[in-house]
Amino acid sequence: MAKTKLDIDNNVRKLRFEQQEMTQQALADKVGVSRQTIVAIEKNRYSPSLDLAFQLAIAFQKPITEVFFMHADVPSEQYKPRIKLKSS
Amino acid sequence: MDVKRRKVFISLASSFAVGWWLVSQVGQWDTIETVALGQLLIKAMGINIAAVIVGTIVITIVASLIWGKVDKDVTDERDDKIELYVMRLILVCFSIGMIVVFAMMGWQQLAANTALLSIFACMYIANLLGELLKLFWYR
Repeated sequence: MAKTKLDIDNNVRKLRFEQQEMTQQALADKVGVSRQTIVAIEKNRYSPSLDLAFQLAIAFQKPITEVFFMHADVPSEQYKPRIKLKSS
Repeated sequence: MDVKRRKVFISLASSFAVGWWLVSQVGQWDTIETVALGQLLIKAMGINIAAVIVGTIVITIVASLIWGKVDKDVTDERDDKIELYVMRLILVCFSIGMIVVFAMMGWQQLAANTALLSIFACMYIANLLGELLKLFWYR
């Protein structure tokens, strides 16, 4: 099966401004990364690990789906899991 | 300038300085004894490591005196990833260079001195490429 490149985006920049215009450095210090990493995430040049994604969500006190989301222009049949789960 | 980019610039500067010093030392590289050439190359590596350490200390002190604060050097998952990609690139470049040098030693009767210098040059170029790539990815 061909690998589908998902169009994942984020609201980090928007959420920062909603949180009393939190600086990139302040957010970076909060989640324990460098400011450059926050810049890269905001510009969609870097996809963070699940761990960092959850830390960002915790920092904003929002569910992770409000911080990271996917543009729904890829047909849903392409999201079929590779492992078949046993139905109980 | 952030700490990581500063480190890359220090590394690049010391590499160029050592490269320049080495070129001035090995004028007649094909007539020197192989052992002497090997010792010279080892010296160059040692000087490079020392220059990076001294350069980092000096630049950190100067920067803290100018701006009055010491920047934190935070290493996160992205830096680890960049480091990994750079290491892979250096390894690939160096390996290709080594294979070419060995092949030329076998088939083209490459002299020992030339082979030693070529291997060192491969390592040097691979390292420079890696540092430049780091600079590009840290932006």
